[in-house]
Amino acid sequence: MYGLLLRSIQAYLRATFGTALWGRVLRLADLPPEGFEPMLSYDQPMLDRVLQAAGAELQRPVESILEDVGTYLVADPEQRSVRRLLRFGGASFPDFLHSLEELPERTRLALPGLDLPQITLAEIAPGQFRLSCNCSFPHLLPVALGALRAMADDYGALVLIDPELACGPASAGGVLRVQLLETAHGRGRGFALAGGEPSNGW
Amino acid sequence: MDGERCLAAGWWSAALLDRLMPLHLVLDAGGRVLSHGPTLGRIFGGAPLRGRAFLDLFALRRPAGLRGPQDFAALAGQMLRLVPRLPGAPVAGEDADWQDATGQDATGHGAGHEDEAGFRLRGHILALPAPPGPAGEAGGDGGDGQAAAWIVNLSFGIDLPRAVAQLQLTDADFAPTDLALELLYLGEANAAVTGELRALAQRLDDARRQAREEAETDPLTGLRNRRACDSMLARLCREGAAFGLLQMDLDFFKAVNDGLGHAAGDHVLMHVANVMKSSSRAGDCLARVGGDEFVMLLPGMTDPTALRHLAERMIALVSQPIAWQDSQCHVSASVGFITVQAGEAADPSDLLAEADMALYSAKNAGRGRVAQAGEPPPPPRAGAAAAAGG
Repeated sequence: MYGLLLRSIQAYLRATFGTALWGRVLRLADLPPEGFEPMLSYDQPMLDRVLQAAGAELQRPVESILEDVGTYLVADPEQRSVRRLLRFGGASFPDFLHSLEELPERTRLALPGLDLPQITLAEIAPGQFRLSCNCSFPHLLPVALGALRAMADDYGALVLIDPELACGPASAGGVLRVQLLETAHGRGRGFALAGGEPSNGW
Repeated sequence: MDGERCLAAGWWSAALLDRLMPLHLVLDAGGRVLSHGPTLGRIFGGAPLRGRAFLDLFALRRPAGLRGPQDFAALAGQMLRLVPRLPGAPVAGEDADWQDATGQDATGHGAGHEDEAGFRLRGHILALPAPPGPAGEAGGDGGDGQAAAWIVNLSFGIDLPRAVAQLQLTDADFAPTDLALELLYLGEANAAVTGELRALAQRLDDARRQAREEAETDPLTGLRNRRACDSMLARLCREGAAFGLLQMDLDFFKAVNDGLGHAAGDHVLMHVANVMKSSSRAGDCLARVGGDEFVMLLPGMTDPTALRHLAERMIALVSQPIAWQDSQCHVSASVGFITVQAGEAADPSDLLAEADMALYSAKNAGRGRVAQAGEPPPPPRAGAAAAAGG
């Protein structure tokens, strides 16, 4: 989990700001220059150090960097396999939202041992969704926010997605509110069932 | 009442069957198509199938030996394996290799593409019972146990990805209960994960090679180190290979270090390494095994004369004055060598000891000399400063 997240952050920072900035982030975080491997294990303090260093280098809040990481994972052509695997969740954006509840199982099917936190979707009113994530892992929410916005674009849906602010310690992990204004607003990106070639954009 | 009338009468709703089983066909008692699901139609490029004989559309691969529709009852409940007979494709017999029948692309475009090697289908055939009709009609269905019609339901099975690519299927071409999308998802997820693991393995392998390279290299001269030399010597001995072992020691090196400093000494060592490189072949092992001690392992080189010439040439090159800043370094070298014939199965440490003894006798003969192990020492050189430090 940390390996995937660290590798995503590394890919996003290198692709967007260049390898020199990424090198500075690693130095600032006091980490070796090789960077991270998606399939290896790392711990949370290491992630925190990288995020802190990236925030300091870019002079941006960590949340906004993580949100861009989420968008990058879905929208960047170099990362096409992430987007394709998510698109298998459903033919429309609401279908896709419902498939998020299956995300941990889908992930485990592909990569046994990788346990994503459980996501729960509630349709509180037509077009109004509440996505809650029961994890004690604060960094995932902004990544999910960025990825969901990019997926909405991908489907051509017009949505408003915002974190639900009033969440006490009981709802650690966080809640996103998704308001679906229009299912077919834009053209979106096409998705053919066939046509998956593994990408290697890390 | 026959199948046609059952269908017309709405006994089976074609729309219902289409939704439930997009890859089905309804056949009349004679094995001709009455109706079919939408995805099945795509296999044949949308060509009208109604009235066509089922066995003209598909080659039945298993079970073998089907004579005609009269045998459908025997097939009921069994797993059928079949391939579509596509327009333009050679019509293969039921027992022909399935590829014969499916070398063609149903949609007719993109011929020659790798994905279009054809696909197989599997499924089953079941009898559709006639509806309870008016008493007078009951006997008209063909008698006891005779089906009014047949229903065949098919699946792409393991050829799903190929069929999806070839027919450009979408999620709408499958029933919502079908696991097809999960299978496609799994295929892609697997490919992504495997690709990632392969990339990781490659990066780790590169790192391992680099670490090994560094562990076996003398950082100053770029020659191999003692560890690498020992391991190659052990391998040559183990394999019973023929080779020459040449041990070289610098003379007067200490004087350079003491007189001009260690940087000058390093410069001399690098010069010697270049002399060794320029005198050797690609497969040779050139190692710096101590401060000013070098070993060369020369596979296949067992001719004493050639080895002696090689050693003398290197000594001559090393003995040239070596420019260092404003001054010159003067060193020389002594060499002891030994040859190992094929199949000799020599012991590595014995070999090194013998080469060392030859080196000593060369040194004792007055520096700048070459000695072969087991041979008499070279005659002392006239005027050699035997006491000079090496």
